[in-house]
Amino acid sequence: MKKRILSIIVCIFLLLSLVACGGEGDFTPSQKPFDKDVKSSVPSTDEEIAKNDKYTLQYDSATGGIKIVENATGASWGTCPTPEGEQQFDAMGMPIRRHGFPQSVLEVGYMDKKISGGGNQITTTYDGISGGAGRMVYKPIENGVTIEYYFDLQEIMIPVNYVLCNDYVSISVDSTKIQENDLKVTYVSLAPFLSSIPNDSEDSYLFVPSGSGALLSGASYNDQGILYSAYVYGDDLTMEEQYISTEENAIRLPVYGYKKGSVGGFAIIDEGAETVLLKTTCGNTAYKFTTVYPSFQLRGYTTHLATSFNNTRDANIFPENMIEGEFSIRFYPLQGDNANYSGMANIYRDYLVSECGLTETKNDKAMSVSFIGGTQITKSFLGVPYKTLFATTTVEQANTMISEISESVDSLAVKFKGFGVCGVDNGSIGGGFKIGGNIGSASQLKKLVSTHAEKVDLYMDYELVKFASSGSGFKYFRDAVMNSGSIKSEQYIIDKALRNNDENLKYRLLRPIRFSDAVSKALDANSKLTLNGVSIESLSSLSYSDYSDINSTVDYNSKHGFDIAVSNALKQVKESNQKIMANNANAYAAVSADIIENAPIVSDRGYAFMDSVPFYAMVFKGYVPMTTEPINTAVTPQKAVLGAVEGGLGLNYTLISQWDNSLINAYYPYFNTTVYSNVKDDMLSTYGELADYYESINGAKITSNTVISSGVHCTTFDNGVTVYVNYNSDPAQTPAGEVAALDYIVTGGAA
Amino acid sequence: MKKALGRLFAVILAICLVASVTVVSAVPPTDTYTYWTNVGTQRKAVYGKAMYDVDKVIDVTKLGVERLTQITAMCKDNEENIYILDANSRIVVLDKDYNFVKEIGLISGTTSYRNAKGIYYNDGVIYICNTEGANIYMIDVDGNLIDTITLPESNLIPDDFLFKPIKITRDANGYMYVVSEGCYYGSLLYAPDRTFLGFYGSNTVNATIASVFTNISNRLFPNAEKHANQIKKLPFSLVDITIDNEGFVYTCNGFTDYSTASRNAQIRRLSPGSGTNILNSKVNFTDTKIIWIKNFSKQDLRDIEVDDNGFIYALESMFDKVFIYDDQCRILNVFGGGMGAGNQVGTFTNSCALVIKQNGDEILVADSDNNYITVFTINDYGKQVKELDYLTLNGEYDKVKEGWEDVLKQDANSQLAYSGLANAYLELEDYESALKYAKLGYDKDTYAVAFEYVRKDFISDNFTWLFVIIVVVVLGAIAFMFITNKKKIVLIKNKSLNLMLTTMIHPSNNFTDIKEKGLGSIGLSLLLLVLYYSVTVLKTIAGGFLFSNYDPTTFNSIIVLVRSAGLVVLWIVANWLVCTLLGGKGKLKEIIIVTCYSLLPLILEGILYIVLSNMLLPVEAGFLSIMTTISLIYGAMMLIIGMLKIHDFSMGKFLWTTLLSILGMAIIIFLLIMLIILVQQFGAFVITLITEISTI
Repeated sequence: MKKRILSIIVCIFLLLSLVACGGEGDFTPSQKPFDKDVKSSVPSTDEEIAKNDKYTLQYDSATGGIKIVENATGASWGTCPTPEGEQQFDAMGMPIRRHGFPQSVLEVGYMDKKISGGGNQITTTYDGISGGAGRMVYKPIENGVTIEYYFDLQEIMIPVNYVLCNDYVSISVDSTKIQENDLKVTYVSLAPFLSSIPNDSEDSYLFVPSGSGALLSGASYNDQGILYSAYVYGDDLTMEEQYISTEENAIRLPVYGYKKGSVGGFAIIDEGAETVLLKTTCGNTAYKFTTVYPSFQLRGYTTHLATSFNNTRDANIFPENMIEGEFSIRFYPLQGDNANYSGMANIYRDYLVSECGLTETKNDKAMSVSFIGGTQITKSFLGVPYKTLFATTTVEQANTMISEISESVDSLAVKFKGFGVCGVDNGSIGGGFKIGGNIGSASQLKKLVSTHAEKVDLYMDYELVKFASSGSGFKYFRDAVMNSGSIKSEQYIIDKALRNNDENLKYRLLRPIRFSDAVSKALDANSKLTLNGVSIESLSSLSYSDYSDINSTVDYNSKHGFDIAVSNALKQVKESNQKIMANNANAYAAVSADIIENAPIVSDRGYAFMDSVPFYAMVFKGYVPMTTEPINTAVTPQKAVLGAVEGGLGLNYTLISQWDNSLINAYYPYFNTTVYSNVKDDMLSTYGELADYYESINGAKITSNTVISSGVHCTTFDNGVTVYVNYNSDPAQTPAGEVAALDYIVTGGAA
Repeated sequence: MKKALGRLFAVILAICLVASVTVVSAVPPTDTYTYWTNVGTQRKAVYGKAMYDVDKVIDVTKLGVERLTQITAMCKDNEENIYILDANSRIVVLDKDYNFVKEIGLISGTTSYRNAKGIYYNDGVIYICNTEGANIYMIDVDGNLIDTITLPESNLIPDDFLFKPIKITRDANGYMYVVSEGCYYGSLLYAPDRTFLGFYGSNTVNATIASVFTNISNRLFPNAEKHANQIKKLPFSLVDITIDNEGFVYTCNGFTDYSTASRNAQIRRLSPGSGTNILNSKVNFTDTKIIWIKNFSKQDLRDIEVDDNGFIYALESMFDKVFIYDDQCRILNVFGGGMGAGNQVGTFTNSCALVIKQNGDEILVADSDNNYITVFTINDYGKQVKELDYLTLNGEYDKVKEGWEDVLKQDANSQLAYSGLANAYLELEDYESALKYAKLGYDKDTYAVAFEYVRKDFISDNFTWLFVIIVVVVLGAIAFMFITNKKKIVLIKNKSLNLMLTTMIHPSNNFTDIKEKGLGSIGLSLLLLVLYYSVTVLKTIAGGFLFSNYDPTTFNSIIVLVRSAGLVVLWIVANWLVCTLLGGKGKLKEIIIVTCYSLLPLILEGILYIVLSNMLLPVEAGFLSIMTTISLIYGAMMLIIGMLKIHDFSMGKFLWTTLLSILGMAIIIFLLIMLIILVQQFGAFVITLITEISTI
């Protein structure tokens, strides 16, 4: 018997070993080896590539890039800006060589050694100045050209397509056609100076959609400049950053642009936006330009922290395979009245309408309220600690509060967050898809629904991304995403004082291939509760990679396809006739949402940022109802209200019914400022002041927003309503008169 | 209209590009928090509402100053003009509205003051701590040299003393205090006539018995390694010094790491004459946790300021945070952050200096990496909290009730508000409410006062009933004992149970009966052991609020189990092993019974403790201590008697075997730790194996 058991164990080990050894050899990536023999072939002059009614696309022989020339005016936009100022000379009378980067058409990152070894990532550029960058091959295609850039030193070739369309130029790279040898490409930045402004130029700025949107200054700083970079749709959580020193307002929209006097440019990252790290360099005195550009991360990575002898070192672990697909941007030249961020918002809104099915609505919500059901607290029985759910808001209490609020508020949306078995803490997926015992029962919730469903939109929030235990058909081990180091990606709650990972509070992320199943469960649970609204807070605002399938080159490596996975899940919700509430939503979720709460009203507040602008609101107002960040949890509630007023967003409050000093241990940060009895009066009085304003802008679109002076903004709606907002602590003069400190004035329309 | 707006916008943007002052959003990119005390054994970080908003960021490089290299220090004058010290021998002067006024460069008749680390303004004189030049320049506001302070000649100063001035301050009487970098003697104190008076305000090193012995040994047998270790145990040197409006001197020693010594009293308030610290010397002025992250393993307070109301503002430069304390060392707010990577407004990459303006309504923090000065302005909530805290600490409780209630509406996590409300209700003689808020805010001092009143009222209201009950109980007990003795009534028929319960009264006889008649019960012994553990746990979790620091999130019943029942079991095993080898006649069963029966006094004490700790005040805690001591002595006495009886040892042999038993306990603990480590490693191996297999 013993021998039999032993032999079975040995067989299992052998089998596992065989399985482990197999597989890798089955996959052949599409990329070809570097072609060392091809001859360079490019026009020696600025040749016309394509032409339509508006623009001519030209080859720029000086840099190897392209120029877009407006037929009517002759105004031009190029992948590389014209060097500013006269040629400077050194003490010996020799010309001082300009920095090569602004004259680069391409930036490429690659690894200096084996991918899995976690070596250094190196950047190279293809610029017209250094000359010896490598060969170029010019291949005309329909309405455009493919230029193959050969980095001979690194043995890497990047083919870039430039195609002239109606009113924009598409610049793209097909990663399957990239050539590489031993050095592996990690990212490709397309046209890094296409959207740039000369330093210190007047009436100029960069536009970056950080949070609500931000304008960046081009004031000269130093030879390093002020750097700002952020991943489109938020950080890749699977990268497992070891230390996140500050909270960041993520980039929610895949766009960027610039304004330089009466001209400008606007780019929409058309394909592969989810893989993009948007980079800016401001005030770099060596470049003499301030620029913003997208960097497509063709190989994502995971940060590994090696610790030995009280020393730590980060290393990035990259996957073997590059993601495959088309990565492209649309670049729109801007002129005159359109050459500003209002013009950019109009273009992007039109793009979403035509390409993503964004539709108009007249059902704006003047207020949304989130009730927090509960949180897990530690208690003890005879000294033996155990976790139990502390109900911060029971269903009955929520019922009462909704009754009170809806008496005063006409258009109200309500979200139930943390009403599952683990409250707002991470537990099983969807909070077990049932109401936590201490919070209430399904019958109580049904009663609430029957009482309020006619007047109030009700949404149950399901945590479909983060989970800390198995349950409801989702396994903690099997269904969690894997990082590029081939181990399950561990996420941590961040300690509130030192902001380090709390090792006791781990959780994992659901694999994108299971989103559909999770949404199905949520829909089932919702129908049992007779609710017709689903809130997908995490699903709409987070994004991450999954390297579970080491052979995959398409799905979820470097976040590739994450947006599609979420979009498909949301489609499922739509098909079941349920409404969707998104939270601070990324573009792909925002277009499907019936309401966006916690819409961003400020940017990331980087040092190079001049001012936050309500670009997000400008795009979606009149198309998706939105409410602002929770007023009562904001540091300065008045400023949050002003943010809502400026963007035409509804008010938003987070509420609980009861506070207990055991909540000081909670990891949800806002219990201290959300007690209903403390907030109610302010909430209703603020609504009372704004009710007429909301009525006047219901369904209206924003036609323009301007920064009158620092902290004083003006928004104009398409029905003629104009609002002047003063965020400063002193009164400000506006064309509509003096606006008091932290106040606003509404003019026009019915106001 | 639209075009006019566009033109206006263009002009404003152009202004923005060159302006050095930027108005920014007020939402902080890091957590704002505070610490709650008296919750468990360690103070606890708790989210709190921000008291300060970022108002503006001043880019000093954009003020028209050429070749500004690095801000090293800042100070302000009486008009609240700001003096910014640049490492490149320059002072940049801003007016109170942060407009550039002028720059002061090299001082005629002197060498440069490159890399000077301190600047101070007093009575029309600017003091520049020329750290590398080993002197302090006194200049007027136009940059003319008035005088130079150098290292005084004095027998009090060691020959190898390196004078590297980094901070200077001056009191109302003209006495000057100079902090020299790395000096662990304290600050150099100069009289108004510049006479050197000696060192002032040095830190001390706490001596332990072990350190005294080590010191003697090191002196007797010195070597280089021991000398190096000795240096590490020198007092912490000062990094900043300031004086409040009452003449008290505040010093700050920045370094805080894992060592206990470095984590207390980093900020001290010294009496001007004696240099005695009058702040609580047990307060940690930085974060509670010290972590090893990104090769940062310490915290470093670098700059302190004190306002007229005694609020202390401290800049911690490692994690780039500002801590605010009141004069009782109660923390109000922590904000800032960045830890070398802060590129958002309100965070820092290398915070280096702090200045307060408008009596703390504005806090300026300089960042030496990017030469920005961030101006934090107090918000309405912050103003309210500081005002109420000041009134509360000054005993003006009648003015704070509504205010603290309003604060709680804005931030339910405000421990100061609960404490303030408790005091306010105490003043109003609403003791029940005072108890409620004191308990919510873990304010034991106020709770004790309110509880005393409540107890007094209860006793005076119910004295008659209480007196009657006590008399009846006492008389009843006497009558009961009299009757049972006279009629020889045996209430408990079970002999084993009876014997156990009377062991405390007749230990010698009962242990003899256990040995000779076998009347002891293993079942009852185990029950006593369980009771002992339960009572030990209950002492913590059900003990009076005033005597317990129970925190369910950190309370570990396993540790209590090990410390109580585990220790008893360990004793039993070790004693049995030793006594078996050394000819003891006691059997394992008898050792168990005797040891567990000896726990009776401790169990009774525990029950009494639970009851009394809910009735007594901290000033009456002595009674509980006496009770605990008596129970321990009584239990030990019972154990000794029991052991002597069952092993039939002489006293000498008993002491010898007890000593060996204790040694045996230590060996068993060592082996258990080894076993635990082995099991842990095996567990880690299994987890790794599962992980590896799962990734296939």
